[in-house]
Parts: sequence; C-alpha cells; structure tokens
Amino acid sequence: MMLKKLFAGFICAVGVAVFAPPAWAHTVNRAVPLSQAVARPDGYRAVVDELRAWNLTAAKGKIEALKAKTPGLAEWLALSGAADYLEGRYAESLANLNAALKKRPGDSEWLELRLHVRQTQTAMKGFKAYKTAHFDIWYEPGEDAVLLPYLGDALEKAYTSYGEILGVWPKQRIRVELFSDSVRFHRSSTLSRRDIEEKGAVGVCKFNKVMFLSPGALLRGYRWLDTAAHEYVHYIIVLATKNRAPIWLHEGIAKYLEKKWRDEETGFLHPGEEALLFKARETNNYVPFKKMEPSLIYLDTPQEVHLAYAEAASAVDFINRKMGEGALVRLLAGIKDAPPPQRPQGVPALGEHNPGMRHQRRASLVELESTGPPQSAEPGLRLVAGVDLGGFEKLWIEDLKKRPLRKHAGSQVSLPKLKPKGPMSERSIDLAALKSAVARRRMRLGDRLSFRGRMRAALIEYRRALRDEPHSQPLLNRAAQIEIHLGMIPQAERHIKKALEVDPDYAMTHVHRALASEMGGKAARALKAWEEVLQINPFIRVVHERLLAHYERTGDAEKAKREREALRIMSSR
Amino acid sequence: MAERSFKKINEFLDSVIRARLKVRRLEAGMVLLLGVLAVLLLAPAAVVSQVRFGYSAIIYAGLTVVLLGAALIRCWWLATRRPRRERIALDIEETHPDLGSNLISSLQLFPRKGELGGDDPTSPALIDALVNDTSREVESLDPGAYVSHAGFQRLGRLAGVLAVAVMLVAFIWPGLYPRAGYLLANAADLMPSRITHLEIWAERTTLLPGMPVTLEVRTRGREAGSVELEVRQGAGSEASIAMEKTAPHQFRARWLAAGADARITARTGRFRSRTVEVRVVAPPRVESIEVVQYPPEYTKLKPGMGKNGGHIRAYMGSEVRLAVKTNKPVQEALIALADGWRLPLNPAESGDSLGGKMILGGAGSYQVRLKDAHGFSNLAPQRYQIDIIPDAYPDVMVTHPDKDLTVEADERVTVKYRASDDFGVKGVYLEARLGSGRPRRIKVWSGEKPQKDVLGRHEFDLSSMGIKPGGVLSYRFIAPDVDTVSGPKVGTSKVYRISIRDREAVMAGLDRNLGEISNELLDLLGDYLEKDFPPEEGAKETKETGKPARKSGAIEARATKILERIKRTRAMLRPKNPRETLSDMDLSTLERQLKDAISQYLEPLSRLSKLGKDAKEERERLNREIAARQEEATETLERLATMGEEIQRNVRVDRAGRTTESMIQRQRSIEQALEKMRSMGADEEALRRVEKELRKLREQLGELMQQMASLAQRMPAEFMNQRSMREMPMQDMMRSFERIREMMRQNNFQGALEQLRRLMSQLQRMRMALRGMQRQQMMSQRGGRPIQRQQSELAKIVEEQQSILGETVGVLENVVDRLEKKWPEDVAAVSRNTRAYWKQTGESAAKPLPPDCFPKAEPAKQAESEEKADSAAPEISMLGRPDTEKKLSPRARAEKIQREKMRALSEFDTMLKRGEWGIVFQRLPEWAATLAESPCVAPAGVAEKAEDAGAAGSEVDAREAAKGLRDSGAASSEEGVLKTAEDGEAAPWKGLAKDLEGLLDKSEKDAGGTEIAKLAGLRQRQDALQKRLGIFERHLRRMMQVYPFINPSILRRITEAGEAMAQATAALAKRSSSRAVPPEEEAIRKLAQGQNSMQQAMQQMAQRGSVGMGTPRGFSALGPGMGGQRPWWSRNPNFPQPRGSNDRGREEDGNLGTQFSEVLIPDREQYKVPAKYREEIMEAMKDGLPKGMRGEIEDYFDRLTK
Repeated sequence: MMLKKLFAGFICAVGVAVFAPPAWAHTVNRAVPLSQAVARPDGYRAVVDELRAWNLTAAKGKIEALKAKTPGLAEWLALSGAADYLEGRYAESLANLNAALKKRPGDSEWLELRLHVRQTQTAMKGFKAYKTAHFDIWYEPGEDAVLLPYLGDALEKAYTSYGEILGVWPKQRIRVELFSDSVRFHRSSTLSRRDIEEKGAVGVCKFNKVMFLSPGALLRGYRWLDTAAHEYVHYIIVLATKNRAPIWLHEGIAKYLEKKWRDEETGFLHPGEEALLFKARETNNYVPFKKMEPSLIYLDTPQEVHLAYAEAASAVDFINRKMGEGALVRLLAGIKDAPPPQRPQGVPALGEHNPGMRHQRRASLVELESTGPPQSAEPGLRLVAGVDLGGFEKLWIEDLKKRPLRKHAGSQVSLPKLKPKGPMSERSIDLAALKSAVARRRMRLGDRLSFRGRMRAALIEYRRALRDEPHSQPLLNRAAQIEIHLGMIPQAERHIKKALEVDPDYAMTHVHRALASEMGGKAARALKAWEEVLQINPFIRVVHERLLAHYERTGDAEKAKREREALRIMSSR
Repeated sequence: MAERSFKKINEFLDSVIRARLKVRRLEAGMVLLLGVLAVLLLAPAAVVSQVRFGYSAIIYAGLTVVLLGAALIRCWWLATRRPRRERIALDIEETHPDLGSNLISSLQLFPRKGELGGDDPTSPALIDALVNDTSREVESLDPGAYVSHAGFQRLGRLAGVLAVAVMLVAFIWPGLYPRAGYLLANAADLMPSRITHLEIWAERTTLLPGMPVTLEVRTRGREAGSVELEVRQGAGSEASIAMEKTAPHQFRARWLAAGADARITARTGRFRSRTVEVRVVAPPRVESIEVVQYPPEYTKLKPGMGKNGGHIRAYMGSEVRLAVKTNKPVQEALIALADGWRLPLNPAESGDSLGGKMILGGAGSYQVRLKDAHGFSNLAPQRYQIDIIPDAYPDVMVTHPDKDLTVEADERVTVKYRASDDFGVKGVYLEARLGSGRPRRIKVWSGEKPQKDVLGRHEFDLSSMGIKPGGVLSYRFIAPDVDTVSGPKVGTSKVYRISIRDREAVMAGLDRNLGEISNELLDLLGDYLEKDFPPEEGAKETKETGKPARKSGAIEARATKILERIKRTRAMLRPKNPRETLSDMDLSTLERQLKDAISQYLEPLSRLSKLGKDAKEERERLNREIAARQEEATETLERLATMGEEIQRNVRVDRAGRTTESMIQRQRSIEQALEKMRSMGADEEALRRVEKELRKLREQLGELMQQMASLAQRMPAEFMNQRSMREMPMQDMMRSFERIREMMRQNNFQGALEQLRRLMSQLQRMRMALRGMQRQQMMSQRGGRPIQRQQSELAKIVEEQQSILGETVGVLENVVDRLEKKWPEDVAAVSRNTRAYWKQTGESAAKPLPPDCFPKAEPAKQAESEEKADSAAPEISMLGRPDTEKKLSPRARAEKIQREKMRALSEFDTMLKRGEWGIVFQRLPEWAATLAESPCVAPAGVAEKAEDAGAAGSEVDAREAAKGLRDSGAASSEEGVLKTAEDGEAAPWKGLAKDLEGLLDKSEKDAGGTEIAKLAGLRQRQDALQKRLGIFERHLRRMMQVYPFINPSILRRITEAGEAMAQATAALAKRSSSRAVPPEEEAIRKLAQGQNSMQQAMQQMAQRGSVGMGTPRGFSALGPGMGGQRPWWSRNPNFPQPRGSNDRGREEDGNLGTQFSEVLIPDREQYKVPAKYREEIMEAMKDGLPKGMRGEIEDYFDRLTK
C-alpha cells in the first residue's frame, strides 16, 4: 500500500517537473516584441504619414499598391484597419486589426489601436447619424436630437465662413460625434476623465472627426456651437497643413474664428480672457508659445490655459490684421509645403523619450493623432512675416501693447462643469461656487426667502450678498430674476448688464435679459437674447416656448416648426 | 420284509409325530395365557385414555377380542394340526445327513412299488432294499430326539415376564382391573356419543335474604332434552325446578333465596351435575359518625368537632378525622368523595369503630361505604356535604406610578407596590415582558416570615435591559400567599406598560420642529427686511401682493412666538443623548440669541418720536444710529435664520447617516439571504421575503435621496467638495433594485448578489462621505483658527490701549501735581467741600433703612421676576457679573448696596486723606454712582421698566448713571426714569465733580510743550487704535455671519469700546488727559469683556464641534450601547498616544484597528477580474509606458486581464 502511494507521488512529481516549468515559462516569460523594435516593411511609414494627415484616399491607394507588391503581410491589414477607423467604419477596422493580430500576435501598437477602436465602438453604440450637406452628425437618440438643427445650421455656416477665410473646403463628408455623457466622450476621444471633469475639456478634433460633449451633459451648458465651430477649424487646419501646425497656431486660429460663423460681429475674446491678457500685458507675464506644446490643457493653471488661448487668438488676429490679405491662408500653406527637416544625430525619433516634452505621447496612437515633426509655424511665419517664432512673438507683443484691451473687473472665464450625478441641484452648486462665506449665507437666505414667496426680502438678501461678491453670476441673476418678478425692470437690467460684462456665456443671464426685454416691450432684443440662450444651453424649455411664440407671431413657419419639435422632444424625455 | 420294515419306519415316524403333538398342545395353552396377559397389560392405557378419549373403552374391548381371538386360533391350530410323515422324515434327514434321502425315498417309493413301469430304472427290489436299510437305520434312532421343547420354553419365559408386569400393575393400581373390567363390560355405553355431562353455575353462592340468583347449566355429549334443578333447603325441604333451555346444551333458572342456606343440583336422565351450596347472609350499615376538623397550619386555627353529624365545613386543606361505627364487622370500609377519591377507614384502636381522615381539597360531598366479609356493601349510604370556608387571594396593586409611562431608553423608573392577604403573602414577584417576548419573573420581596401587608418598590434600569426605542416593557407584580395546601394563591396587579420613546421618531419630530422654527426665523427676517423696503419699490410689490409690510410690534410678537416654540422643542430633547446634545446646545444658543435680539432690536424705539422738531442734528445722529442698529438687527436676524437652518441641517445629516446605517444593515441581511438562496436554492416564500426587504430598502433609499437633496441645498460646499458625493449615482442605485429583482426572478442569484454588493459598496461610500461631511461641517463650525486670529488681534489692541492709558495717566498725574503746587487754596476748598459731602453721605448711609423700603411683592410676581432674572443669566454672566447677584432678594440687595456705599466712602476717605486727587477724579464717577444708588425697591412702574430694560445688569446702568455725571444729555429715556429717582442723591456729587473738573481744566491749560506733544502723540495712537478696532469689528462682524453660534455680545462690547475710544480720542484732541482717562478705562473694560466673551465663545464652539464630531469625553460613560443610541458618526475618544498623521483618517472614521464590519468577504465568483477593472487597466495602458518596459508591462496587463 505504501509502495503504491509512493509510486503515485513519484508519478505526480515527475508530471509537475516535466510540464509545470514550460507552462510557467510560457506565461511569465513570453516575449512580446516592442512595436518600435519591429522593423516595418517599406512603404509602411509613407502610409502612416498619409493617415496622420487624414489623407485617406491617398493612404488607401498606397495600401492597395503595397498589398499587390508584397501580399499577405500583417502590416497592410493593420494599416487598412487604421484607415477604416479614421473613416468611421469601426466594424471593418476591428476585423482588419484582428486579422493582423492573428498573423502577428502581441503587436502592442495594433493591440492598443484595437482597444481604442473597441472603446470607440462601445461609446458609439446606439448612435444615429444626422446628415447635412457636408457633415455626418452622429448623436445618441433622445434629448440630444434637440440640438441637431442648430448644430447642422451652425456647422454649415462654419463650413462656408471658414472656407472663405482659410481657403479650405473639405471634399469628404466630415464626421461629427456628439456625446451625451462624459464617459462615452472619454472613451471615444482618449481625453482623460480628469481633463474632461476638472479642466473642462468639452471638445476635441482628432482621428479625422470632430467630437464634443452635448450641453445637456454640463451643468449650465456652454458655448457648444462655438465649440463645434472651433473644433471644425482644427479639422480644416489639419487638412490645410497636413497636420503640421503647432498647437498655439491651431488653438489661436480656432479661438480667433470660433465665433465668426455667427451672423453678428463679436469680439473673439471672452471678457475674462481679455482681462487675463490685459493683466499679462501689464505685468509682461505671458505664456510663451513653446510652452503651449503639446496641448494647452497641460498648462499649470486654468488661468494659464485661458491666457494661452487669448495670446494665441490675439497673435492670429495680429497676423490677420497686419500681414495682409489672405495671410492666414498663406501661413497655413507655408507650413504645409515646408520640407521635412532632417533629424539631427542623437535626437530621439518620434515616440521615443523626448526630454523636451513634458507629456509623453502614446507610442502607437501617436501615429494617427500626432501632427508629427516639425509641428512648427516658422515656415509659414517666414513666408508671411519674414521672421522666426521669436521674432514673431516680439512683433505681436509690440502690437498688443497698442491694442485697446479692457480690464473687465470681476470677469473670469468659468470652466464648463459636468452635471453632477449626486444629489445636487444647480442652486446648491451656485452656493458652493461663492468664495465669500457671508455672501454664501446671504444667498442661501435669499433662496429660502424666495422659496417662501418672500420676494422683497429675498431681493434684499441678494443685494446684501452682492456687497461681498459683486461679480457673482448666480447672485446677479438671482437679483435680476426677482427684480423682474417684482416689476423692477431698470434695476434688473442693471444687474443683467453687469452679469453680461462679467460672463456673456452664462445662459441664465440671457434668459433674464430676454425676460426683462419682453417686459420692457423690446421684442427684438428679447429674440436675440433667446437665440443666444440656444447657443449655450438649449435644454431650457422656456426658451423654446418663447421662441415658438415669437416665430408664430412673425410667421416664420420653419423656425416655429423647429421649436415645436424641440419642445416635443423635451416633453418626451 | 420289506413291508415290515416299512411299517417300522411308519411307526417310528408316528411316534415322533405324537411326541410333537404333545408339545404343541402345551404351546397352545401358553399362547392363550399370553393373550390374556396382553389384555391385562393394555388395561392401564385404556383406563387412562378413557378420561380424554371417550372411545378408549371400545377400542380396548376390541383389542381384547382380537388378542384373545388370535390366541385361541393359534391354540386350535397348534392342537389340531398333525404334521405329515414326509415332513418329519425330511426333518430327520436334515438332522442325520447319513441317512441321506433314504427315509423320504422309502416313504415315497415303497407305496408305489407296484406301479413301476418296465423302463423304470428303480426296481422293486431296490425299493425293498432301501426300505429294509432304512428300517434298520431307524431302529437306532430315538423318536424323542426329534421333538423340540424350545418353543414352549420361549413362550413360557415370555408369559412369565408378562405375568410379573401384570402383577406389578395390579399391585400399584389396585382398582385398575376392576375399572378395566368395567370398561370392557360397558365399552359401548362409555362411548361419548352416548353420555350427557352436566355443569352447573350459580351467579353467586352467598346471598342476602330475598336476593335472586340465576343458575345456569351447560351440557356436553348427548343432547339433553330437559334439565331440572333439585333444591334442598334445610332438612326434608326439597324442590325441583325445571330449567329453561336458552340454547342448545344451555339451561337457565332463577331462584329467590329464602332465609336459609340451600343445596342445588341439576339432573337429566341418569346423569347429574355437581351440587351447588348457597349461603344467605345480612348486609352491613353505619350506626354513627363523628367528625373532628384540623385547619391547615398556615391558618394557625385550632382543631374542632363537627356539629352537623357527618357534614363538614372547614378551610381548604383542613385535615378531617372521621370515627364510624357499623352494625357488624366489615371487611372493607372507605370514605367515598364525590370527586372519585376513596379514603380508607381503618379499625380504631378501641376496636369498636372505624377511623379515617381526609385532607380537604375542595368543596363537595362524601359517603361512608362498607363492605362485609362476603363482599356485601351497605345499601344506599348517606351523602354528607363538604363545604370550604374560602381563603381570599392576595390583593396586589401598583401604587406608583399607577399608570402607563413613556420614558427614555436609559432612564431608571421606580415603581411602588402593595401586596396584602388575609393569612399573609410569602413573596412578591415582578413579572416583566419585553414586547411580545417571554415574560421573565424576578423576586422583589421575600421576607423571613409571611406578612399580611407588604409595601415595596422596584427600580427598572432600562438601559441595562437593552430595550430598543419604540419598545414596550409591560410589567405586573405577583404575590403568592402562604397557602401551603392548595398551593399559594397568586394575586396579580394590573399590567402596566413602560413605552420606550422612539428617539428616531423624536428626531423626526425635532426635524419637523426645527424646520418650522427655521422657516419662522426666515419669515421673521423677511418681515424685518421688508419693513424697510424702499417705499417706491415696496409700493409696487404691495400693489401686486396686496400685503402691507409688517409693523415692528408684529415682528416682536412673532419672535416671541418662535421663542416659545424653541422652548417647546428643547423640551423634546435629552441633552445626555449624544445625538441630541448638539441640537440642545444649538437651540439653547438660538434661544439666548433670539431673546437678546428681541430685547435689543425688535422692541419699538421711541426716542426718535420724542425729539423736538428743531433737534435736526440730534435727529441726524439718531438716524445714523438707527441705520447702524438696523444693520446690526438685520445681521442678527440673518444669523438667527441661518442658525435655524444649520441646526436642522445637523439633525438631517444625522438622520441621513442613520438611514444609511439602517440600509446597510438591511442590505447585509438581504445579502445573507441571497447567499443562502444561491447555495441552497430558493422557494417562493424566500423570494417573496427578499423582495419585500428589497422594497423596503428601496423605500429607504428614496427617503435617503430626499434627505440628501435637502442637505445638498444646505451644505453645498460639503457636497461639492466630495467627489464621492458629487458623483453618487443615486438614480443608478434606484435602478439597481429593478435589476436585482429581475435577476432573482431569473434565478440568477449570483448576479443579484453582485449587484447588491455593488449597491452596498456605494452605500458604504455614501456613509463615509456623510461622515466626512459631518466632520467637515463641525470642523468649519469650530471656527478655531479664524477666531484665534481675531482673539490675538484683540489682545494686541488691548495691550496698545493699556499702553495709551498708562501714558495718559502719567500725564494726568503731572496735571494733578501742577494743580496742587500752583492752586493749593482751590484744592483745599474743594477738599473741604468734599469732606463735608463725604460726612453727609456717610451719615445717610449709616442710617437704618425705612420700613416701607421693601413693599410686599406678590409671590407670583416675585417668582416671575426671579425667573426673568434667571433667563437673562447667560448674558449677565457674559458681562462678568457675579451669578449670585441675580438671585438676591430685595433686602439682601439693599444690604449689599449699603455695604458697597460704605466701601466706596472708605476708599474715598483714604484717597482724600492721601491727597490723591488724580485718583479721586478718576474714581469719583464710580463712587458717585454707588452712593447714588437707592437701596429701596423702586416703585412698580419704575421697577417694571428696569426689568424690561433687560437684566443686562444694573452694573451697566450704574455706569451709565455715572456717565450721566458728565453727559446727561446722552442718557436714554429709560435710564432717565431710574436716574430721576437718584438725582437727589447724586446732585452734590455732580457739583463736586464740576469743581474738580474746573480745577483740572485750569491745570491742563497750563501744560508745557512736552506734555502737549505727548498728548498729541497719544491722540494719534488712540485714533489709529480706534481705526484698528473698527477693522477688527468688521472682521468680527463678518465672522459672526459665518459662525452664527458665536455670542453676539462680543460685538456689542467691541462697539462700545470703539465709542469709548472715540471719546478718548476727542478728549486727547482737546489736550484733556483727565477727560481721556475714563473713556480709555472704559474701552479697556469693554475690550476685556470682549476678550472674555471671545474666550467663552471659543470654548463653546470647540465643545460644540467636539460634540458634533464624535463621542465627547463627557458621554463616554454612557457607552456605546447606552440606549442603543450610539451616533452613527461617533468615534472613539482620543487618548493621548503618539501616532503618525497617517492614522488620523482611521481614527476619524470612528474605528481603531481593523474594522471587520466594513469588509465584504468575496465569494468564489468575485475572484474573477471584473470588467470594469479590465477597462481601468486598459485605460492605464493609454497613459504611456516607460521605454524598454513596455513589452513586459503589456504582457503583465494582458495576463492580469485574462
């Protein structure tokens, strides 16, 4: 018996000794080749360059040629997958990538791309397309359907307007993705959740498409149509420069042009940004253009970010004003046509460690999203101004000193805030936003008094709170709201005016302006204010109701129908 | 020759034959004998078997015939049958082989000799020869030799044996053979089919006279046609009774016994039964009966004879002894009780009666039953009654509280009881039952000896009983008496209930009340604000709403109403309960501050209306003052409204936390149920139960959502600052219930369990977030650092003011020195006047008080006034006034004033003697105020006004009066009322002060350059300090809006100090050190009071913060289980021990060490990598990897996700 047991034990031990180490070795030491270390076949890089420049027709042509020349390589499948992804054909992209990975398992670059395509596909699940003349707007059916007519209209206007300014008229249909929640946006855009939630990143132009968050996902909405236009500017800059424009120029042009699609003339800077620029001019404390790489959102503080936007936009304005007719077109053409620089010895290649870059780009997707070296505006600047970047900065600063900037006391750019999921209301968030504890308490008292119908007392409390926080949007709007309620229109308009000076992107201010205008018998002004609200937060029901009434009154059947439809959608949620 | 020979042979053979015949006859006789013996030997068997087997006789007879017949036949055969010669010849030839076959051949051949043929080989000669030879040979033979007696001998021996046996049997059983002969003779009659057996039975064989008896006969064998009874009574009396045939073989007859015995036999034909003997006897009966009763021992009563014959009346348990006499000896006697019990009666020692005893166990009756030796009982015995004298039940009652109570879970409730009984109670028990549980009994009284009346008390320590809030304790007292017989009779009290107040319900009520208070405070603020709404703006709104602004009187009434509500709400609370301590403290503060606000701001101000038309400057000043006062009032009311909401918010946070706790517990139980269902399967009932629990949980979550939404409005920053709270997926949580239910319906318990665990995890996070919020809130309300900064600033201001005062006093001393040196006559004159006033006042103060000094106040009013003084206590103590003062009676107060006056006079005298004119001037207002104060109680109107002015302290009033010496115009109208009464006393002192002021003015105007420069410097410093104090005041004012629980009196002190500083600055600007010193001193006093108030406020807020953040030290004694009310946010007390900063979080979470309750033990399925985790890993992969490590890390992630 004992012998049998010993024999069985021996057999088990031999089995373990024979089979376990190889298994262990397989799971632990399986070597995965680094994608950078893999030698890609000839022609691979050229295709990647085309993909990076979103020149998909050329890229696909090259892939076909390469396939015919050396058929059966996994690389061609992977590149086809990447091209499919950029075209928005996610299922086909995944099929190609899977086939490539089957041929060469473990290629980290393709693995990561596949992961991202999958995430995108998940994020886009259930989306539908809304087509305009040039744009395919993908949206999540439901509440966001309200946005489509306004968005389509704005984008088409932007297409025409920016085409005229920059001379770029994309021939392919432009894919626009509108996300109703931040998680989907994060998955599809690769923007980190921190960037979205804390730094207020609401839109991005990447992967041959424009992506942005629905204003419904944000607490008070935001200038979403301007954002869509802004991102579209990025799109055409990529096309115009083969994705070689530096970020400051990208953002500068986008910021400078983002409001140009509108019918009316408006300044390109937000009062808060103007105030920052004013202060920077006073203190001679600018954000250098080089510091803006690789993205503005990586700057240290929100103030720096907004200052950088203001600087860049101001610089573009300077180019537009001072460099003659079509300066921007020439600038972009100069960048596009610049010969690729020779990489000096010892300089790391793209995707490798680069000490000069504070934020390491991802090694694989960078092939698709990066603008690639040199990402410099200098060729263009030399073409239009005859100076390098340093020289241009000096010129711009000199010009800026002569510009009539305003201080805009109390004004500041507010970051878009996501709608909280927790048990929080807009009112409580307003309260939390106040810096002065005394003002906070008084505003709360005012709120409570107004809940109890003690409007006069509430107004007094708001006014008292305004002593401590004279530039608080919520306070100014609350005071205005009650003043409107009490029929004190002139007082309300004073508060509204101040609120607009502080932040023209606060939807409720426009609502109150519209209401005050209506009560004051200024219908045109009210209409303008209502339409302004649509550009910030179109999910306020009263806006559509008032606009519907107006359009019906004026006989604008088409717009009335649009508003009616919007109300229907909002009622059905 | 041959013939002869042949003849000889024949003869020989014949002789043999004859001999053999002889022997055979003997043998025949022997055979017959053997047959007879055999018959005899069968006789015992036949006789014995005949008893059981009726046909034995006939068989025996048959056998006898057979045996004897067989023997006879044999005999005949033996005797009659001759043997043939040839046979004999053969036998002989066998015996003599030498004969060969000659003998037989001779016998056969010789007779046939002539018949031989020719061819026959045998010749006659040969035959002859053979015959001749044979004849010769025969001649030598003895015929006797061929006869055998062996057979006869054998038979003879057998017959002998049998004969011995027969003789032996006959010897042993002498009657056998006659019986056998009888059997043989009557063999045919003895067959069963020819016999009838009779069996007779009598119902009884001993009878009473005239008693009938039934006789039954049963027959066996041949059927009897009829049976008769033959009855013989005495000699010669014989009767025959025909029996009735009741069935085949069964006969019955009834016979009545006469006075004598009888013998009865049944008969049919030749057959008779046995005889039955019947005896006739007389019955037993009771001749007399005696009863002796022995009451039970516990009654302590003596024994007694019964007086009702055999009837009994006694206490239960009494021993009753009976003595019964009978008519004849009895074999058995007993007492038969009605309830079935039987007690024996035994022969008494005397032998003439029977004795027995019984213990009375209840009312009823009994009989004496006798039975004689024959078993005959006494006929129809008499029934005797047993009556029980009743023993009353103990009477038990609860004398206190004699009603149901509703108390707190940790209270002690004392109850008193009384138990009484006619023979005494031996113990008192308390029977208590919690809810519907099993009652528990404890002994609360147990005396050494039973007592007829017991009074006692018992204290319920409810905290140790662990009754949950809302639970009910029902109790009653039970007292058994001393009845040792039927067992103690138990008296019980009425059942009373002690209901434990449900603190959760109280908290809910508190929440509601606080909500109403908060709203009312808000309305109060609204009323106040709208009161002064700009007329042009207000008019529009009034036009719209139609509601005019409220008047101040209505506001005051509303405030008073709120005050009452606060008091009522406070009455609901138990300050010892950690969960309610904070609310109690806060409500107390709110009450105090509201009271203060009413007295300070809400009462109508009448000074403005009393001003004349031409007092424009004064009107403007007052308008400014009113505006400032209104601002203060508004801030105060804002603070109060905020406080109201904050108090309610704290309660709501607490309730939300409690709800979360409750939900977590419920979830745990659901989780356990699901776990069980997953492992063991589920039935419909279990599913239904879990779904019910889930519904409850969902309702709770709904409730929690409402609470949280309400809190979010009240604590916006706390919510926004916590990511977990900001991103709490409340709607997802609500939806997850549906998912769980759906999974359960699909029997996917694993999925349901996972979903539930996710929900639980979210709830845990919510609880932690709530804890964090509570902590953050309390930390913020402590106000530690900001208040400390302000306190430090105030200390610096006080220091600077002291420095200014010191230098101003130095200047004043120079002024006084100069005065004494330059104008000694004037000083002497003032000194004389002063001395005279001193003397006059001294005499006045030394006089006894007049009898009408203390009007007899109504006791109720006096009490009310004392109460009012009490209610103002905190404020007074804040001002530094001794607590005892408020409790003084009028007489004690008067005596105290007198003492103060004497002290002031003494000090005044000392200073005058020393010539310290500087001090005299400084202290003069104070002394004057003391000396002017009237010890008698002011007239009613004045007293009321004085009370209405608030018990803010007469000290303040006195100072105001003193101030009036210098600035009579500034006195308020209220103060004026008091002042008028004291004007008479103060008038001389005013004159004196004026004189002194005049002298000092003269000296001050004579100041040199250095003094002027110094005074200018002091003015600048005082001015700067005043501004600094103004900034401080603004900071403090803002801080009070943020920390509404700070006592607002601080601000008042600072304002007053600022006013004093302004006066000092003005005096210094006029280069009058003498006029600067008193306000500077006043400023220091006020600042010191402010410092004191601030210190107290800090302590109060620190205490408040501690209470709100965890179990304060003061409550540690209560323990966590105290009343089941350990706050959900409570933490363990901080014991001083070195620890790193990393430990802080754990401690603040309320736990030290490992916390098991928070740990969810994962099941097997949970070891799978969740999808979310995989996503996070993939997400992490996006953030870039270090060069060179990428492959390995990717591989690691890859394996991890797999």
